[in-house]
Amino acid sequence: MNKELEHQFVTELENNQNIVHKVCTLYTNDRDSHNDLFQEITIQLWKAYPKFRGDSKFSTWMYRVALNTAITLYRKSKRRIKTQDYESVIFKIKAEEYDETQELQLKLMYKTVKQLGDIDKALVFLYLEDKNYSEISETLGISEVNARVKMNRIKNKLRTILNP
Amino acid sequence: MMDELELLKKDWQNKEEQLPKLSYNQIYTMIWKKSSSIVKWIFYISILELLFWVLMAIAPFLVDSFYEKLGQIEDSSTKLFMLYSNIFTFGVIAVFIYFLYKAYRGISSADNVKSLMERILKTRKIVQYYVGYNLVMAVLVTLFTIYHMFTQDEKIMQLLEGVREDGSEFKFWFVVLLISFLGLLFMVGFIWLFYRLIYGFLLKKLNRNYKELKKLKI
Repeated sequence: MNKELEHQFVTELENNQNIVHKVCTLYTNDRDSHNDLFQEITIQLWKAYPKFRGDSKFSTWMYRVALNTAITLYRKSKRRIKTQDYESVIFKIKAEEYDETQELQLKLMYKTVKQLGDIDKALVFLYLEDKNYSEISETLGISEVNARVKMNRIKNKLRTILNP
Repeated sequence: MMDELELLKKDWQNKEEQLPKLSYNQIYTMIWKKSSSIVKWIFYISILELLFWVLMAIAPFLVDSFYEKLGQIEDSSTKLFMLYSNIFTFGVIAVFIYFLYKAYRGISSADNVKSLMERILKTRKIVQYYVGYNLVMAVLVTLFTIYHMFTQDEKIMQLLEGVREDGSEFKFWFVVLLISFLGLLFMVGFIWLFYRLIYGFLLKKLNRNYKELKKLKI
């Protein structure tokens, strides 16, 4: 029975691991931290899995646990050796795909998003993941109006940065 | 002009294939690794705190001379007082364990972000209240003991007589009060500092993010 649960969980996570990787990309700056956070999220997901009843989608449930771990539960482990910051794969832009201005704009936007506070980052993340405001507000525990207002402020911030 | 964030969203979603891919086995080994979650740390610390204060409460019973002293007590109202105060002390410990257990059970990583933070802060508050209660009790017991010493202890009462005849009564009381005050201040200050350090360290990120979340409320 327990083996079955393990198998079920690992398979689900393997199929949905992108969500966790994306959270790690946003909340960490180097590969070691990325892996460390990924591991902690995996542990938290596994611990919470027996209580996952399937009344929401596995992925929806994952967003919550992953964000909660990144924002609140996770403590950087001391074992980790600090390596120099690396530009994570997701922020590398293939030059041939975009014209120069757009490439620059995107780089600037990613940089700005990375510098946001943990909560704002979560808001932008869910937005980029195409979640609607009701889902965003439910995940964060704030009202829909507040989520909208905050998102508009972030949009304006990005706009000013791009068009000074 | 195209919405900047829409541009970002498109790019973000196009990049999925560039993300790292972990194998089934890599994920499988991860689920057995040790967690470094702050909830675990807070849990360990509160267990230590609990043990410490429980030990303080039962310490007198572990010393033989305590029973001798207990045997000397003739006064039935004092005996009754001792009994009630012990029931009270251990009752408080039991109530505290119950609330702490309930609070821990309520912490769920699948909760929404705000509510998870609030539950962790609430759990910490319970421990904080318990420590506060113990500090207040410690101060009260100390004050009571000092009072008791000056009204019951024969040696000290003799000393007091001597001081009275000397005429340096004011100086004497001043020193006694100063020492007691400094002693209490040191004890409370030490424990307070200890807490600030431990929890300040553990909850720095949580407090900062909770503030950020609170600021969203208009």
